[in-house]
Amino acid sequence: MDVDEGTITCITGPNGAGKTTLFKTIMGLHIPYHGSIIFYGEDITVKPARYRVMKGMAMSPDYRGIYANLTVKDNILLPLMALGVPRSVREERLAEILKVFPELSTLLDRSGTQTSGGQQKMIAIARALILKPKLLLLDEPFEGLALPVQRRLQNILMEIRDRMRCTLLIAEPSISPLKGLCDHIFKIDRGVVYRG
Amino acid sequence: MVIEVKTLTIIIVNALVYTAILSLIAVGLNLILGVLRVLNLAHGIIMALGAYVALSLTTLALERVGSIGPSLLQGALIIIVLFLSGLLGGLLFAVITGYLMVRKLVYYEAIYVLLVTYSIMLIMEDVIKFVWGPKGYVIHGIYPLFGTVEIAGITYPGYYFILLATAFIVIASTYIFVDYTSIGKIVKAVASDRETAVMLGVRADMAYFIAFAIGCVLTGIGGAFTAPLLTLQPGFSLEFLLLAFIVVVITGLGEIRGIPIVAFIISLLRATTATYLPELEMAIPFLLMMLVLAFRPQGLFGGR
Amino acid sequence: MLALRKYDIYVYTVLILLLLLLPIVAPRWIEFLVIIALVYAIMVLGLIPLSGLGGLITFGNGAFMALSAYTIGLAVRHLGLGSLAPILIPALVIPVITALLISLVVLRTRYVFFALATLAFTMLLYTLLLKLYFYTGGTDGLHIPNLSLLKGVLDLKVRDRVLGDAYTSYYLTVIAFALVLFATQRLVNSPFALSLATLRDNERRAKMIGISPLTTYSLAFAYSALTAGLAGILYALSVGHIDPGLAYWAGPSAKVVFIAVLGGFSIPGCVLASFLYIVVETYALKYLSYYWQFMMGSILLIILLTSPKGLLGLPEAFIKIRNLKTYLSLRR
Repeated sequence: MDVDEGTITCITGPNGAGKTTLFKTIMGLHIPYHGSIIFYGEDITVKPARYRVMKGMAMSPDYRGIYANLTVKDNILLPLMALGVPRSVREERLAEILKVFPELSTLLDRSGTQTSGGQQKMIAIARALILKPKLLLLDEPFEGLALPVQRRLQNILMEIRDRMRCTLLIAEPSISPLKGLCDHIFKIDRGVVYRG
Repeated sequence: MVIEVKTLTIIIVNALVYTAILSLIAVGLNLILGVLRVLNLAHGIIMALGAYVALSLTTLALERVGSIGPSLLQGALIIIVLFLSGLLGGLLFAVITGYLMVRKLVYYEAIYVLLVTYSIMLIMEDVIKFVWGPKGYVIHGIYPLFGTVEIAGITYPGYYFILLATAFIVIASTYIFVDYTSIGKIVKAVASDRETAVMLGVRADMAYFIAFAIGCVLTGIGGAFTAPLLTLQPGFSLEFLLLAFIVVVITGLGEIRGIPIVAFIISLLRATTATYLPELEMAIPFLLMMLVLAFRPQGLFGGR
Repeated sequence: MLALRKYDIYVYTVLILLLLLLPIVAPRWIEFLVIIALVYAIMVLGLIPLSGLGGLITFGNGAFMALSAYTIGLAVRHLGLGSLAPILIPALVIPVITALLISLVVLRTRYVFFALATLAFTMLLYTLLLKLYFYTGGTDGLHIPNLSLLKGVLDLKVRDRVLGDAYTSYYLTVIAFALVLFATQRLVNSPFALSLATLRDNERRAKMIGISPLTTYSLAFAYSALTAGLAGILYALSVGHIDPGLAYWAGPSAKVVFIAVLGGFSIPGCVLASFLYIVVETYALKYLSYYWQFMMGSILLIILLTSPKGLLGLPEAFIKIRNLKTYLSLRR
């Protein structure tokens, strides 16, 4: 499967088809038995997740994965803390991210889980985005979001692709939120990917 | 049964001192147990190491220090020595075993690590016996440096209050570290949800090692400051270890906040039963622990 | 891993026969070693359902062992007990009932917490045995005299020398071991074992198909208590002296867990591991009596560090030999 740089590529398929496993493999949480993953010419199949993060990958998981024992602000900044980014740079990036997700700015001091499901999704995406990744993997980003919020997210994602020159790879079980969004579509069924 | 004020204050003061030591050890244990989810059967050894190293270093220090000047200055130096002993003992243990254990933990089953800690315990117990011998040691010369304090007609060694102050400072620092530093937050994240943290680029094994090291250091310091209080002999740390486990379970894994409170309750219970019902002294805390495990397994302060 | 194969029964029968005939050729100290090894083996086998299949590590064995041993001891001291028969049933029943009772509390937890809860229980018992010394003899422990099997009817005493110059209790132990061996073998191949394995895999799903975690686990727990109780009786009769150390967490409780892991929770593995452990421990005690813990700990650590992925080379070898036959036959 080839993903072109600077596009929004979508993968769609029924539940259990293997979307999350695919993403986990791309991200490094899972090492495949066969096959390889090439990122900008480099074979990263067996490299740990951290390596991939440093090379410019980021992921927002299908469960929300927000930490209750950290504030919203710390949740968003976590990857930067993990990479040892100095505080001043962290604050800068946070300000930039908040321009993309202004609704989060009032929530910063709350505990991570004192937020609604939709907000947590936003936090997860913001958290991945703060790394300024070259490749952003979004696993079911539209799940559980109300229609207006979905539209908002669609706009945000397009903005990310255009302004931040980021490649987006989105996995969704249903095609409807992806309408008009995708440059390329792949279908996955029972573990096999093919062009849609 | 008339409870006099005197007896009450004795009980409370003793409970407070016990609380200080117990809290240090329990916070250390909680960090290890809560973050690494490993039952470290060798934990008592860390405390013992801290105490024995303190024994050796303070004995050395007391010989040199006697000529330096005011007892207050001497006292301050001794405190530093004690502190460093604990640090040293804890780090020693952490480095020797931590690398062995922590790396393996990320890949191997927990039961395996449990057994590694068991064998380490066996080995270290005899190592301590070998280095320091089986007889009991009492450190003289520390109490006189700190004078005495009188409360309700009873005289207590000034050392008690130094101990309380030190424990307070160390534990408060730990709280600050965990809640306000980047590393502390990373440790919290790894403890709560490791896979997500790894996905975000966190080095889980570093987080484990830091939690482990801090846990060991705290326990070592707890052990070191216990040294002047009682007779050091093989096995003395057992009681503290068991009670620390109980405190950790009752407070809740990963919840550092409630530990001093629970430690105080346990210490108070213990001091009271020791006075009136000595046979049941250890039984009641265990009973409490089983009850908490049964009816509120996340601990009194645990939230998940 | 634990499938019953026809020739297992034959192997075990041969083993039992060998054990029964052993005293004819072996000196007394070997006999004693074998008794202790079998006593531990009985306890370790009892752990297989709960810890091996069900996945719950327990530190409670020492407690149950102490319960049955002290039942006998207290009966001797306070009730003037002279023979084994009347106390046999109570000594077995008390640990089992205790296990079932505390399951209500302890089985509300799993894994690390469960291990801690059982550890708490055994230490609770230990401190009680220690502190209530006017009843229990405290650190001095209790002496178990040479009881007869049934006074007046069968005046054979447990520590009398009979066939082959071995204690009566030796033969009792071998018989008990045989019983536990076969019982465990059957348990491990029964639907009960499947329930346990399902619970370990995914408790939620198991509940959905009608398996009750509490019932299943408490029965497994009770089985471990039964075997530990049996072990306690045999220990008391053969050694003649018991003390609170039986209930101490780092005593039999932890050792039995260790042996079980070394044996890979398989029946042959556990039996072999028990023997090996007792032999090593005895020699460590004999040659390094002061620092025996150091030697034990080092050996155990070396074994652990060189073993693949958590299981032990020992059972791996067993499995490989078994699988070799299958493998060779499949090759065609």
